[in-house]
Amino acid sequence: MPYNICMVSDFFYPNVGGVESHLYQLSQRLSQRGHKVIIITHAYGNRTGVRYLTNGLKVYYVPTMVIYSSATFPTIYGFFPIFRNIVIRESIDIVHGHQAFSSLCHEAILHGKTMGLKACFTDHSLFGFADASSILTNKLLKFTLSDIDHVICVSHTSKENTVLRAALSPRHVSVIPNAVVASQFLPDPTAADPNYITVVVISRLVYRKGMDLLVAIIPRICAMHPKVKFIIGGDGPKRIDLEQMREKHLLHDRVELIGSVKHHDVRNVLIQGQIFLNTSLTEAFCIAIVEAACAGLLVVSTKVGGVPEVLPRHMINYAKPEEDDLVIAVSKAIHMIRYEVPKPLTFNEELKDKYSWKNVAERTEKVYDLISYSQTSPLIERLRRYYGCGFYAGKIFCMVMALDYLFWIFLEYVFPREAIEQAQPFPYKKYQSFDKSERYQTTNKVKPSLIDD
Amino acid sequence: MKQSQNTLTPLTEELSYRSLPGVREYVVHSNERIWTVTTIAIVSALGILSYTTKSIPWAKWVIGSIFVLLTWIKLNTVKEERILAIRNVGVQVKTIYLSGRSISHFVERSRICDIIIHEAITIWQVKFYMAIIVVKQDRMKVVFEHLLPPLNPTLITAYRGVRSMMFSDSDPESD
Repeated sequence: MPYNICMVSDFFYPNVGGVESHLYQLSQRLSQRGHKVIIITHAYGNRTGVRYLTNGLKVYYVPTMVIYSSATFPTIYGFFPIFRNIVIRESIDIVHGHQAFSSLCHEAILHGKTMGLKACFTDHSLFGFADASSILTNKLLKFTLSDIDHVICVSHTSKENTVLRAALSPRHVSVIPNAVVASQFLPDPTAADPNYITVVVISRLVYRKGMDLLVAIIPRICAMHPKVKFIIGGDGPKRIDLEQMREKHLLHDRVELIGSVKHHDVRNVLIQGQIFLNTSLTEAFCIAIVEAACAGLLVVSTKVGGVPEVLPRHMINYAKPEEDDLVIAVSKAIHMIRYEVPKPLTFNEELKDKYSWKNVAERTEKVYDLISYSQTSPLIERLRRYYGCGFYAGKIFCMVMALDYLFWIFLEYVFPREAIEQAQPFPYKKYQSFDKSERYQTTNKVKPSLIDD
Repeated sequence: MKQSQNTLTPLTEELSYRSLPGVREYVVHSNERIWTVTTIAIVSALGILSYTTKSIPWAKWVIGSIFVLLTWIKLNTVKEERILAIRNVGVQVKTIYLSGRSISHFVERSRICDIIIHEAITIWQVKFYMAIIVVKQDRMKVVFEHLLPPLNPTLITAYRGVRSMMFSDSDPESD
């Protein structure tokens, strides 16, 4: 049965990244399956209000204050009136939040549960337990996930991590991996330079992605193998270290730094190489290595986080996140390429069916089926769940939640439900059939109206 | 069946229209009046207070400022908003206040890019609005800007009527 789903996250178009494209692809596939999907995110600069993306995907850019790197300032109750209005006018059943860093997501789940809707959360990253930011984020996550219907994680390692952080029962956590649009990453054997073996690295140049390891191993590999070149795409604070390393060892002709790469150019960079190197220190599910394998590259990666679950054994070489081990793994990969042991051009066929968005949407729909049959818990039960979060924290969380409930009653009185006008559903079928029919008429004729009676 | 007389035909509580060949005007009223029960109550309370508190020196300033505030609110309350569409000439948007003052804005046919209905996010809610996109201007001209009537049937009727006047040769069916 078709659901009305609301995806909430701070991170969406025009920002580009893994979470954003995950949201976009999942919403497109779900709406193709017949559900109604809307997305709520915060305003990006001038881009506020209601916008429509491909195939009528409606996005609400809510004007809020942004504090750091696209995350909003968490005024817990400030978001409630507009969220309630949007949810009522679109008749939403399920609220689906993404990414633990996004405060909009936490607030939306809290308000959604207060209003009696079903809520679901997807986590895209791994967290530590030791440093200050992790401890605070984990407590916040415990708050949000005390009262949630289901959690989705992108790998089994991520599931273990989330279950430990938020003290959840593992029965309420599903694993649905990310996917890749394999047709965007077709291999091209002619694009690489035949005289060299090229190693491609594309990532954000930050500490978390193991850039220090990269700086250490590149000179050693270049010294050991004279016919090896490196192409490094991406930008970040560690770029200076890479450039210094290049200067120091005089590797200007062997190491190329191409700067940040737009998402649609990634394939063109990938096909120039035969090996893809990933040196991350922590990774929940590395979609970059799947993209590289689809494009016909042999992958060398550090064996951290969720990486071992991603690719079959013959497509990837593992290494410990240490300099020596990585050098051995890369050398092994170079030998394999030289003696043509793997057949990288077949990787795309194999991965096409394993990682498809259609599959992810089907599995997500099963999760929605599961949660829509569960019953809404009464207020006392919710208070009890929040109370169990900790000795002091439990009491604070209960107060926050109780105030949220009172605020909801107040809003129901001041802005009654009947006064809120229902939004017009987007005529998907009409739009798709119109697309294929004759070309758009020019202005002197009446344009087809998007509003049906 | 065409309506040719120049009378104001009511469609709903809020919306009425007037039509002539090639001309359409849609009028949205609000139910505001100058002398409502609350206004009479406040004015008489102020009057009584101004006699009873004669001794307090600052009392007349407070009463005076409340009276000024009340007049200012009444002066800026919108009574009616209209949109007049004349084929091949243009569109005029008019706002009439309680005091009889009216502000109108005309956009000629050659400068109209398009007439649209879209949704806007205000602080508390999301509302539908109708607007005229004018050539070479950053801001659209919002129609029924203060009253912001609901989508069905007010905005849709006005939208269809004005669009058929501007962008087609046939008149809209009378509703």
